[in-house]
Amino acid sequence: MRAVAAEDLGRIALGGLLLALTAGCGDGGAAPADASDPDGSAPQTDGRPLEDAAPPVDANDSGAVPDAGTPPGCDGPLEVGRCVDARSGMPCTGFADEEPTFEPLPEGTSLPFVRGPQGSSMFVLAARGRGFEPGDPEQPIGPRSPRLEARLFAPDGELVSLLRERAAFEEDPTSPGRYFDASMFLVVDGPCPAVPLLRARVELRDVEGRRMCGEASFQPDCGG
Amino acid sequence: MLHRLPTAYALACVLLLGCSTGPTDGDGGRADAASEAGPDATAPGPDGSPQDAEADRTGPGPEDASADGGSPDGAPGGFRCPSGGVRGPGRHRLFVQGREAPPLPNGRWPLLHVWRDDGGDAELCDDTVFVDDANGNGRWDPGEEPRPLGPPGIVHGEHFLVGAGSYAEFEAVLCDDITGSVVLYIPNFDQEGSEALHELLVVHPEDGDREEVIATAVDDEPGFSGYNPFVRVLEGEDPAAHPGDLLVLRSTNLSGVAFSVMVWRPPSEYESWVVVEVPDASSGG
Repeated sequence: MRAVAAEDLGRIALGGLLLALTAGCGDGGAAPADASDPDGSAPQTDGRPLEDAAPPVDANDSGAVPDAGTPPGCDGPLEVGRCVDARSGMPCTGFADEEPTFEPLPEGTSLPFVRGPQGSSMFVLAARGRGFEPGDPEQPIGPRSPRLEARLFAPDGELVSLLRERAAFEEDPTSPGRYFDASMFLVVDGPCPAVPLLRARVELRDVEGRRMCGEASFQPDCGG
Repeated sequence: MLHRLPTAYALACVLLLGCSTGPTDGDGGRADAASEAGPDATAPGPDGSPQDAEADRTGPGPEDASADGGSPDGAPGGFRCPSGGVRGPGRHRLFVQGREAPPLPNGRWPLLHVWRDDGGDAELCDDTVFVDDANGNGRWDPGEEPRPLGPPGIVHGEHFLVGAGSYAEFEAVLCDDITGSVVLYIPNFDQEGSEALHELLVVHPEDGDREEVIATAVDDEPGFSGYNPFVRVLEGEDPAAHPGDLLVLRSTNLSGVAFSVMVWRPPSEYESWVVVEVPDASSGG
Protein backbone atom coordinates (compact mmCIF):
# COMPACT_ATOMS: atom_id res chain seq x y z
CA MET A 1 0.00 0.00 0.00
CA ARG A 2 1.30 3.44 -0.80
CA ALA A 3 0.54 6.60 1.11
CA VAL A 4 -1.68 9.12 -0.53
CA ALA A 5 0.66 11.51 -2.35
CA ALA A 6 0.45 15.23 -1.92
CA GLU A 7 -0.64 15.62 -5.50
CA ASP A 8 -3.44 13.16 -4.84
CA LEU A 9 -4.56 15.21 -1.89
CA GLY A 10 -4.66 18.29 -4.07
CA ARG A 11 -6.71 16.50 -6.65
CA ILE A 12 -9.00 15.16 -4.01
CA ALA A 13 -9.53 18.63 -2.55
CA LEU A 14 -10.23 20.06 -5.98
CA GLY A 15 -12.60 17.26 -6.71
CA GLY A 16 -14.42 17.84 -3.45
CA LEU A 17 -14.77 21.54 -4.16
CA LEU A 18 -16.09 20.91 -7.64
CA LEU A 19 -18.43 18.26 -6.31
CA ALA A 20 -19.84 20.63 -3.71
CA LEU A 21 -20.30 23.40 -6.23
CA THR A 22 -22.08 21.30 -8.78
CA ALA A 23 -24.24 19.17 -6.50
CA GLY A 24 -27.90 19.97 -6.37
CA CYS A 25 -30.99 18.47 -4.73
CA GLY A 26 -33.12 16.12 -6.78
CA ASP A 27 -31.22 16.22 -10.02
CA GLY A 28 -27.95 15.87 -8.20
CA GLY A 29 -24.55 16.95 -9.35
CA ALA A 30 -24.31 13.89 -11.52
CA ALA A 31 -27.76 13.97 -13.01
CA PRO A 32 -27.85 13.06 -16.66
CA ALA A 33 -28.78 15.65 -19.19
CA ASP A 34 -32.35 14.41 -19.10
CA ALA A 35 -33.49 15.22 -15.61
CA SER A 36 -36.74 13.35 -15.91
CA ASP A 37 -35.26 9.90 -15.54
CA PRO A 38 -37.46 7.86 -13.32
CA ASP A 39 -34.86 5.70 -11.70
CA GLY A 40 -31.40 6.69 -12.65
CA SER A 41 -30.65 9.84 -10.73
CA ALA A 42 -30.84 10.38 -7.06
CA PRO A 43 -30.76 13.19 -4.56
CA GLN A 44 -27.51 15.02 -4.25
CA THR A 45 -24.73 12.87 -3.03
CA ASP A 46 -23.27 14.85 -0.16
CA GLY A 47 -25.01 16.60 2.66
CA ARG A 48 -25.16 20.32 2.69
CA PRO A 49 -24.32 21.93 5.99
CA LEU A 50 -27.09 21.44 8.50
CA GLU A 51 -27.81 25.14 8.40
CA ASP A 52 -29.35 24.58 4.97
CA ALA A 53 -31.74 21.89 6.13
CA ALA A 54 -35.42 22.37 5.37
CA PRO A 55 -37.51 23.78 8.20
CA PRO A 56 -39.07 21.16 10.46
CA VAL A 57 -42.44 19.76 9.58
CA ASP A 58 -45.24 20.24 12.08
CA ALA A 59 -47.89 17.74 11.04
CA ASN A 60 -51.32 18.14 12.51
CA ASP A 61 -54.09 15.64 13.02
CA SER A 62 -56.25 17.18 10.33
CA GLY A 63 -54.10 15.29 7.86
CA ALA A 64 -52.95 18.33 5.96
CA VAL A 65 -49.25 18.28 5.35
CA PRO A 66 -48.03 21.76 6.16
CA ASP A 67 -45.99 23.51 3.59
CA ALA A 68 -42.53 22.41 4.63
CA GLY A 69 -41.02 23.93 1.54
CA THR A 70 -40.61 21.56 -1.36
CA PRO A 71 -36.91 21.19 -2.08
CA PRO A 72 -35.85 22.29 -5.55
CA GLY A 73 -36.22 19.63 -8.17
CA CYS A 74 -39.03 17.91 -6.33
CA ASP A 75 -42.72 17.84 -7.17
CA GLY A 76 -44.02 17.86 -3.65
CA PRO A 77 -43.15 17.54 0.00
CA LEU A 78 -42.63 14.31 1.86
CA GLU A 79 -42.76 14.34 5.63
CA VAL A 80 -39.95 12.39 7.25
CA GLY A 81 -40.75 10.88 10.61
CA ARG A 82 -39.99 7.95 12.83
CA CYS A 83 -41.41 4.46 13.05
CA VAL A 84 -43.32 3.51 16.15
CA ASP A 85 -44.95 0.19 16.99
CA ALA A 86 -48.64 1.03 17.15
CA ARG A 87 -49.24 -1.63 19.81
CA SER A 88 -46.50 -0.77 22.27
CA GLY A 89 -45.72 2.80 21.36
CA MET A 90 -42.07 1.87 21.30
CA PRO A 91 -39.61 2.64 18.51
CA CYS A 92 -39.65 0.03 15.76
CA THR A 93 -36.87 -2.49 15.51
CA GLY A 94 -37.99 -4.40 12.44
CA PHE A 95 -39.24 -7.51 14.18
CA ALA A 96 -42.16 -9.22 12.50
CA ASP A 97 -44.57 -8.81 15.42
CA GLU A 98 -44.48 -5.04 15.26
CA GLU A 99 -47.20 -2.90 13.76
CA PRO A 100 -45.19 -0.06 12.26
CA THR A 101 -46.78 3.32 12.06
CA PHE A 102 -45.68 6.85 11.33
CA GLU A 103 -44.92 9.36 14.04
CA PRO A 104 -43.67 12.91 13.45
CA LEU A 105 -40.03 13.65 14.14
CA PRO A 106 -39.67 17.22 15.41
CA GLU A 107 -36.31 18.83 14.87
CA GLY A 108 -33.73 17.51 17.26
CA THR A 109 -35.77 14.58 18.54
CA SER A 110 -33.73 11.68 19.80
CA LEU A 111 -33.92 8.50 17.74
CA PRO A 112 -32.57 5.20 19.08
CA PHE A 113 -29.91 3.17 17.30
CA VAL A 114 -31.53 -0.24 17.26
CA ARG A 115 -30.45 -3.75 16.36
CA GLY A 116 -32.85 -5.51 14.07
CA PRO A 117 -33.69 -9.18 13.75
CA GLN A 118 -30.96 -9.70 11.19
CA GLY A 119 -28.36 -8.24 13.50
CA SER A 120 -27.95 -5.00 11.60
CA SER A 121 -27.79 -1.78 13.60
CA MET A 122 -29.89 0.98 12.18
CA PHE A 123 -32.17 3.93 12.55
CA VAL A 124 -35.75 3.25 11.56
CA LEU A 125 -37.46 6.13 9.82
CA ALA A 126 -40.81 6.67 8.20
CA ALA A 127 -42.24 8.89 5.51
CA ARG A 128 -45.69 10.12 4.57
CA GLY A 129 -47.27 12.43 2.09
CA ARG A 130 -49.90 13.03 -0.56
CA GLY A 131 -50.13 13.41 -4.26
CA PHE A 132 -48.25 10.39 -5.46
CA GLU A 133 -48.98 6.84 -6.58
CA PRO A 134 -48.60 4.79 -3.37
CA GLY A 135 -48.51 1.33 -4.92
CA ASP A 136 -50.42 -1.70 -3.70
CA PRO A 137 -49.72 -2.90 -0.15
CA GLU A 138 -50.78 -6.36 -1.27
CA GLN A 139 -47.88 -6.29 -3.70
CA PRO A 140 -45.39 -4.19 -1.78
CA ILE A 141 -42.60 -4.55 -4.28
CA GLY A 142 -44.81 -4.70 -7.31
CA PRO A 143 -44.28 -2.53 -10.37
CA ARG A 144 -46.56 0.25 -9.17
CA SER A 145 -44.80 0.72 -5.87
CA PRO A 146 -42.69 3.83 -5.62
CA ARG A 147 -38.95 3.74 -5.25
CA LEU A 148 -37.56 5.31 -2.14
CA GLU A 149 -34.10 6.59 -1.39
CA ALA A 150 -33.12 7.69 2.07
CA ARG A 151 -29.72 9.09 2.94
CA LEU A 152 -28.36 9.88 6.35
CA PHE A 153 -25.66 12.52 6.73
CA ALA A 154 -23.35 13.49 9.55
CA PRO A 155 -22.84 17.21 10.25
CA ASP A 156 -19.72 17.23 8.09
CA GLY A 157 -21.69 15.91 5.13
CA GLU A 158 -20.38 12.37 5.35
CA LEU A 159 -22.88 9.82 4.09
CA VAL A 160 -23.67 7.58 7.04
CA SER A 161 -26.33 5.37 5.51
CA LEU A 162 -28.07 4.81 2.22
CA LEU A 163 -31.31 2.93 1.80
CA ARG A 164 -32.88 2.18 -1.55
CA GLU A 165 -36.09 0.27 -1.68
CA ARG A 166 -39.27 -0.31 -3.51
CA ALA A 167 -42.16 -0.10 -1.07
CA ALA A 168 -45.90 0.30 -1.18
CA PHE A 169 -47.32 3.00 1.02
CA GLU A 170 -50.33 2.39 3.22
CA GLU A 171 -53.17 4.82 3.47
CA ASP A 172 -53.36 6.68 6.77
CA PRO A 173 -56.71 5.66 8.27
CA THR A 174 -56.91 8.98 10.06
CA SER A 175 -56.35 11.02 6.93
CA PRO A 176 -57.66 9.68 3.61
CA GLY A 177 -55.38 10.43 0.73
CA ARG A 178 -52.30 10.52 2.88
CA TYR A 179 -49.96 7.54 2.61
CA PHE A 180 -47.09 6.38 4.74
CA ASP A 181 -44.22 3.92 4.81
CA ALA A 182 -43.02 3.24 8.31
CA SER A 183 -40.38 0.58 7.62
CA MET A 184 -37.35 2.44 6.40
CA PHE A 185 -34.30 0.69 7.84
CA LEU A 186 -31.22 2.86 7.54
CA VAL A 187 -28.42 0.47 8.34
CA VAL A 188 -25.21 1.93 9.66
CA ASP A 189 -21.98 0.03 9.24
CA GLY A 190 -19.97 0.19 12.38
CA PRO A 191 -20.80 1.82 15.70
CA CYS A 192 -23.50 4.35 16.40
CA PRO A 193 -22.37 7.69 14.95
CA ALA A 194 -20.93 9.82 17.72
CA VAL A 195 -22.34 13.08 16.42
CA PRO A 196 -24.83 15.49 17.91
CA LEU A 197 -27.19 15.45 14.95
CA LEU A 198 -27.91 13.41 11.86
CA ARG A 199 -29.84 14.65 8.88
CA ALA A 200 -32.07 12.40 6.84
CA ARG A 201 -32.96 13.21 3.28
CA VAL A 202 -35.65 11.11 1.66
CA GLU A 203 -36.80 11.05 -1.91
CA LEU A 204 -39.68 9.09 -3.36
CA ARG A 205 -40.17 8.57 -7.06
CA ASP A 206 -43.45 7.06 -8.09
CA VAL A 207 -44.34 5.10 -11.18
CA GLU A 208 -45.56 8.29 -12.88
CA GLY A 209 -42.20 9.93 -12.36
CA ARG A 210 -43.32 12.25 -9.59
CA ARG A 211 -40.61 13.11 -7.13
CA MET A 212 -41.47 13.83 -3.52
CA CYS A 213 -38.79 14.95 -1.11
CA GLY A 214 -38.35 15.63 2.55
CA GLU A 215 -35.75 16.09 5.25
CA ALA A 216 -35.51 15.74 8.98
CA SER A 217 -32.82 15.96 11.61
CA PHE A 218 -32.50 13.99 14.80
CA GLN A 219 -30.17 13.27 17.65
CA PRO A 220 -28.81 9.73 17.51
CA ASP A 221 -29.48 7.88 20.72
CA CYS A 222 -26.58 5.51 21.10
CA GLY A 223 -27.51 4.47 24.61
CA GLY A 224 -27.45 0.84 25.56
CA MET B 1 -21.94 7.73 -18.31
CA LEU B 2 -19.03 10.06 -17.64
CA HIS B 3 -19.21 11.62 -21.07
CA ARG B 4 -22.69 12.88 -20.29
CA LEU B 5 -21.69 14.85 -17.24
CA PRO B 6 -20.62 18.45 -17.09
CA THR B 7 -16.88 18.47 -17.50
CA ALA B 8 -16.24 19.96 -14.08
CA TYR B 9 -18.40 17.42 -12.36
CA ALA B 10 -16.97 14.59 -14.40
CA LEU B 11 -13.51 15.67 -13.35
CA ALA B 12 -14.60 15.76 -9.73
CA CYS B 13 -16.25 12.40 -10.12
CA VAL B 14 -13.18 10.83 -11.61
CA LEU B 15 -10.87 12.27 -9.01
CA LEU B 16 -13.07 11.03 -6.20
CA LEU B 17 -13.56 7.70 -8.01
CA GLY B 18 -17.30 8.08 -7.68
CA CYS B 19 -18.00 7.28 -11.30
CA SER B 20 -15.04 5.27 -12.44
CA THR B 21 -13.36 2.31 -11.01
CA GLY B 22 -10.21 3.49 -9.39
CA PRO B 23 -6.82 5.01 -9.97
CA THR B 24 -3.80 3.04 -10.90
CA ASP B 25 -2.65 2.85 -7.31
CA GLY B 26 -5.20 0.13 -6.93
CA ASP B 27 -7.51 1.89 -4.54
CA GLY B 28 -10.99 2.47 -5.76
CA GLY B 29 -13.86 4.29 -4.32
CA ARG B 30 -12.16 6.46 -1.75
CA ALA B 31 -9.00 8.42 -1.66
CA ASP B 32 -8.22 7.02 1.75
CA ALA B 33 -8.89 3.45 0.76
CA ALA B 34 -5.17 2.77 0.62
CA SER B 35 -4.82 3.18 4.35
CA GLU B 36 -7.81 1.02 5.13
CA ALA B 37 -7.46 -1.72 2.57
CA GLY B 38 -6.20 -5.12 3.49
CA PRO B 39 -3.27 -6.86 1.85
CA ASP B 40 -2.55 -5.65 -1.61
CA ALA B 41 -4.77 -7.33 -4.12
CA THR B 42 -1.93 -7.21 -6.59
CA ALA B 43 0.08 -9.81 -4.77
CA PRO B 44 0.83 -12.82 -6.93
CA GLY B 45 -2.06 -15.14 -7.36
CA PRO B 46 -2.03 -18.71 -6.22
CA ASP B 47 -0.57 -19.82 -9.49
CA GLY B 48 2.31 -17.44 -9.08
CA SER B 49 1.27 -15.23 -11.95
CA PRO B 50 1.63 -11.61 -11.03
CA GLN B 51 -1.22 -9.19 -10.86
CA ASP B 52 0.44 -5.97 -11.75
CA ALA B 53 -1.51 -3.00 -10.55
CA GLU B 54 0.53 -0.75 -12.77
CA ALA B 55 -0.49 -2.70 -15.87
CA ASP B 56 -4.13 -3.24 -14.94
CA ARG B 57 -6.46 -0.30 -14.77
CA THR B 58 -9.97 0.16 -13.62
CA GLY B 59 -9.93 3.91 -14.04
CA PRO B 60 -7.96 6.76 -15.57
CA GLY B 61 -4.35 6.99 -14.61
CA PRO B 62 -2.51 10.10 -13.57
CA GLU B 63 -1.42 10.65 -17.13
CA ASP B 64 -4.97 11.06 -18.34
CA ALA B 65 -5.62 14.68 -19.05
CA SER B 66 -9.24 14.27 -20.04
CA ALA B 67 -12.03 14.27 -17.52
CA ASP B 68 -13.39 10.95 -18.52
CA GLY B 69 -10.36 9.09 -19.80
CA GLY B 70 -11.04 6.32 -22.23
CA SER B 71 -10.87 6.77 -25.91
CA PRO B 72 -13.31 7.98 -28.52
CA ASP B 73 -14.75 5.18 -30.49
CA GLY B 74 -16.23 7.17 -33.29
CA ALA B 75 -19.76 6.60 -32.08
CA PRO B 76 -22.28 9.34 -32.76
CA GLY B 77 -21.85 12.31 -30.49
CA GLY B 78 -18.20 11.51 -29.92
CA PHE B 79 -18.86 9.08 -27.10
CA ARG B 80 -15.74 8.28 -25.17
CA CYS B 81 -15.66 4.89 -23.59
CA PRO B 82 -14.57 5.44 -20.00
CA SER B 83 -11.78 3.37 -18.57
CA GLY B 84 -13.36 0.22 -17.29
CA GLY B 85 -16.24 0.39 -19.74
CA VAL B 86 -17.39 -2.80 -21.37
CA ARG B 87 -15.99 -3.04 -24.85
CA GLY B 88 -14.36 -5.41 -27.25
CA PRO B 89 -15.48 -8.83 -28.41
CA GLY B 90 -15.48 -11.56 -25.85
CA ARG B 91 -16.55 -12.23 -22.31
CA HIS B 92 -16.10 -9.59 -19.67
CA ARG B 93 -16.15 -10.22 -15.95
CA LEU B 94 -17.50 -7.31 -13.93
CA PHE B 95 -17.03 -7.26 -10.18
CA VAL B 96 -19.43 -5.81 -7.65
CA GLN B 97 -17.75 -3.00 -5.70
CA GLY B 98 -17.89 -3.30 -1.93
CA ARG B 99 -20.27 -1.36 0.26
CA GLU B 100 -17.47 0.40 2.11
CA ALA B 101 -16.78 2.35 -1.06
CA PRO B 102 -18.99 5.40 -1.41
CA PRO B 103 -21.87 4.92 -3.81
CA LEU B 104 -22.06 6.79 -7.06
CA PRO B 105 -24.17 9.95 -6.95
CA ASN B 106 -27.12 8.01 -8.31
CA GLY B 107 -27.01 5.57 -5.39
CA ARG B 108 -25.46 2.72 -7.36
CA TRP B 109 -22.06 1.16 -6.85
CA PRO B 110 -19.72 0.47 -9.75
CA LEU B 111 -19.26 -2.83 -11.46
CA LEU B 112 -15.48 -2.97 -11.72
CA HIS B 113 -14.00 -3.97 -15.02
CA VAL B 114 -10.25 -4.12 -15.42
CA TRP B 115 -8.37 -3.04 -18.54
CA ARG B 116 -4.72 -3.33 -19.31
CA ASP B 117 -2.81 -0.22 -20.28
CA ASP B 118 -3.09 -1.27 -23.89
CA GLY B 119 -6.86 -1.16 -23.57
CA GLY B 120 -7.35 -4.90 -23.61
CA ASP B 121 -9.04 -6.94 -20.96
CA ALA B 122 -6.94 -7.80 -17.98
CA GLU B 123 -6.51 -11.26 -16.64
CA LEU B 124 -9.68 -11.21 -14.60
CA CYS B 125 -11.70 -11.62 -17.78
CA ASP B 126 -9.58 -14.60 -18.77
CA ASP B 127 -11.22 -17.70 -17.39
CA THR B 128 -8.01 -19.68 -17.68
CA VAL B 129 -6.47 -17.32 -15.14
CA PHE B 130 -9.43 -16.54 -12.96
CA VAL B 131 -10.74 -20.01 -12.24
CA ASP B 132 -9.53 -23.51 -11.67
CA ASP B 133 -10.39 -24.70 -15.14
CA ALA B 134 -11.15 -28.24 -14.09
CA ASN B 135 -12.36 -29.45 -17.45
CA GLY B 136 -9.65 -27.62 -19.37
CA ASN B 137 -12.00 -25.98 -21.85
CA GLY B 138 -10.63 -22.53 -21.18
CA ARG B 139 -13.97 -21.28 -19.97
CA TRP B 140 -15.51 -21.04 -16.53
CA ASP B 141 -18.28 -23.50 -15.95
CA PRO B 142 -20.53 -23.77 -12.89
CA GLY B 143 -18.81 -25.77 -10.23
CA GLU B 144 -15.36 -24.52 -11.11
CA GLU B 145 -14.03 -22.47 -8.28
CA PRO B 146 -12.76 -18.96 -8.84
CA ARG B 147 -9.35 -18.13 -7.56
CA PRO B 148 -9.05 -15.46 -4.87
CA LEU B 149 -8.44 -12.70 -7.37
CA GLY B 150 -10.10 -9.38 -7.80
CA PRO B 151 -9.70 -5.91 -9.23
CA PRO B 152 -7.07 -3.71 -7.62
CA GLY B 153 -9.71 -1.15 -6.86
CA ILE B 154 -12.08 -3.42 -5.01
CA VAL B 155 -13.17 -2.26 -1.58
CA HIS B 156 -14.52 -4.48 1.16
CA GLY B 157 -18.10 -4.67 2.29
CA GLU B 158 -21.16 -6.82 1.81
CA HIS B 159 -24.34 -5.12 0.72
CA PHE B 160 -26.98 -5.77 3.34
CA LEU B 161 -30.49 -5.71 1.96
CA VAL B 162 -32.64 -5.04 5.01
CA GLY B 163 -36.37 -5.32 4.70
CA ALA B 164 -38.56 -6.53 1.89
CA GLY B 165 -38.12 -4.36 -1.16
CA SER B 166 -34.69 -3.06 -0.25
CA TYR B 167 -32.28 -3.29 -3.12
CA ALA B 168 -28.80 -2.41 -4.24
CA GLU B 169 -27.74 -1.60 -7.77
CA PHE B 170 -24.40 -1.85 -9.50
CA GLU B 171 -23.58 -0.36 -12.87
CA ALA B 172 -21.04 -0.39 -15.66
CA VAL B 173 -20.88 1.66 -18.84
CA LEU B 174 -21.44 -0.26 -22.03
CA CYS B 175 -19.30 0.81 -24.92
CA ASP B 176 -20.43 -2.01 -27.18
CA ASP B 177 -23.60 -4.01 -27.57
CA ILE B 178 -23.81 -7.21 -25.60
CA THR B 179 -25.65 -10.46 -26.09
CA GLY B 180 -28.22 -12.05 -23.83
CA SER B 181 -25.71 -14.61 -22.60
CA VAL B 182 -24.93 -13.68 -19.05
CA VAL B 183 -23.60 -15.22 -15.87
CA LEU B 184 -24.50 -14.33 -12.32
CA TYR B 185 -22.05 -15.35 -9.63
CA ILE B 186 -23.26 -13.90 -6.36
CA PRO B 187 -21.94 -15.16 -3.04
CA ASN B 188 -24.39 -14.08 -0.41
CA PHE B 189 -25.34 -14.31 3.20
CA ASP B 190 -28.83 -15.68 3.61
CA GLN B 191 -31.04 -17.43 6.11
CA GLU B 192 -34.00 -19.76 6.05
CA GLY B 193 -36.68 -17.93 4.13
CA SER B 194 -34.34 -15.58 2.29
CA GLU B 195 -35.46 -14.77 -1.17
CA ALA B 196 -33.72 -12.33 -3.46
CA LEU B 197 -34.32 -11.20 -7.00
CA HIS B 198 -31.33 -10.49 -9.22
CA GLU B 199 -32.00 -8.52 -12.37
CA LEU B 200 -29.54 -7.75 -15.10
CA LEU B 201 -30.66 -4.78 -17.13
CA VAL B 202 -29.59 -2.35 -19.76
CA VAL B 203 -30.56 1.18 -18.85
CA HIS B 204 -30.86 3.64 -21.71
CA PRO B 205 -30.08 7.16 -20.45
CA GLU B 206 -30.91 8.62 -23.85
CA ASP B 207 -34.40 7.21 -23.54
CA GLY B 208 -35.39 8.48 -20.14
CA ASP B 209 -33.49 5.73 -18.38
CA ARG B 210 -35.72 3.09 -19.93
CA GLU B 211 -34.87 -0.32 -18.53
CA GLU B 212 -34.42 -3.30 -20.79
CA VAL B 213 -34.33 -6.57 -18.92
CA ILE B 214 -31.74 -9.06 -20.07
CA ALA B 215 -32.29 -11.72 -17.45
CA THR B 216 -33.64 -12.26 -13.98
CA ALA B 217 -33.12 -14.94 -11.41
CA VAL B 218 -34.62 -15.53 -7.99
CA ASP B 219 -32.42 -16.91 -5.26
CA ASP B 220 -34.77 -18.87 -3.09
CA GLU B 221 -32.39 -21.69 -2.35
CA PRO B 222 -33.50 -23.05 0.98
CA GLY B 223 -31.81 -22.55 4.26
CA PHE B 224 -28.65 -20.90 5.40
CA SER B 225 -26.00 -21.41 2.76
CA GLY B 226 -23.13 -19.56 4.31
CA TYR B 227 -21.47 -17.52 1.66
CA ASN B 228 -21.95 -20.05 -1.08
CA PRO B 229 -22.49 -18.35 -4.38
CA PHE B 230 -25.75 -18.16 -6.23
CA VAL B 231 -24.73 -19.18 -9.72
CA ARG B 232 -26.75 -18.90 -12.87
CA VAL B 233 -25.73 -19.15 -16.48
CA LEU B 234 -28.56 -17.56 -18.40
CA GLU B 235 -29.56 -17.11 -21.98
CA GLY B 236 -31.56 -13.95 -21.57
CA GLU B 237 -33.02 -11.44 -23.93
CA ASP B 238 -30.54 -9.95 -26.36
CA PRO B 239 -30.63 -6.23 -25.55
CA ALA B 240 -30.23 -3.41 -28.03
CA ALA B 241 -27.39 -1.70 -26.18
CA HIS B 242 -25.63 1.35 -27.52
CA PRO B 243 -22.41 3.02 -26.41
CA GLY B 244 -23.19 4.97 -23.30
CA ASP B 245 -25.93 2.69 -22.08
CA LEU B 246 -25.54 1.23 -18.63
CA LEU B 247 -25.43 -2.36 -17.55
CA VAL B 248 -27.14 -2.58 -14.18
CA LEU B 249 -27.30 -5.45 -11.73
CA ARG B 250 -30.12 -4.96 -9.26
CA SER B 251 -30.43 -7.27 -6.27
CA THR B 252 -33.67 -6.97 -4.31
CA ASN B 253 -34.66 -8.58 -1.02
CA LEU B 254 -38.06 -10.10 -1.73
CA SER B 255 -38.92 -11.77 1.53
CA GLY B 256 -37.41 -9.40 4.04
CA VAL B 257 -35.34 -12.18 5.58
CA ALA B 258 -31.62 -11.53 5.84
CA PHE B 259 -29.77 -11.30 2.57
CA SER B 260 -26.57 -9.63 1.53
CA VAL B 261 -24.40 -9.54 -1.56
CA MET B 262 -20.81 -10.40 -0.70
CA VAL B 263 -17.75 -8.41 -1.60
CA TRP B 264 -14.37 -9.00 0.03
CA ARG B 265 -11.04 -7.30 0.19
CA PRO B 266 -8.52 -8.82 0.12
CA PRO B 267 -10.07 -10.61 -2.83
CA SER B 268 -11.31 -14.08 -2.21
CA GLU B 269 -13.41 -16.64 -3.95
CA TYR B 270 -16.40 -14.85 -2.44
CA GLU B 271 -16.43 -11.91 -4.78
CA SER B 272 -19.68 -11.19 -6.59
CA TRP B 273 -19.46 -10.78 -10.32
CA VAL B 274 -21.33 -11.03 -13.54
CA VAL B 275 -20.13 -12.00 -17.00
CA VAL B 276 -21.46 -10.44 -20.15
CA GLU B 277 -20.44 -11.04 -23.71
CA VAL B 278 -19.73 -8.60 -26.50
CA PRO B 279 -20.31 -10.36 -29.78
CA ASP B 280 -17.70 -10.58 -32.44
CA ALA B 281 -18.32 -7.91 -35.06
CA SER B 282 -18.29 -10.57 -37.72
CA SER B 283 -21.30 -12.19 -36.13
CA GLY B 284 -23.31 -9.07 -36.76
CA GLY B 285 -23.77 -8.34 -33.11
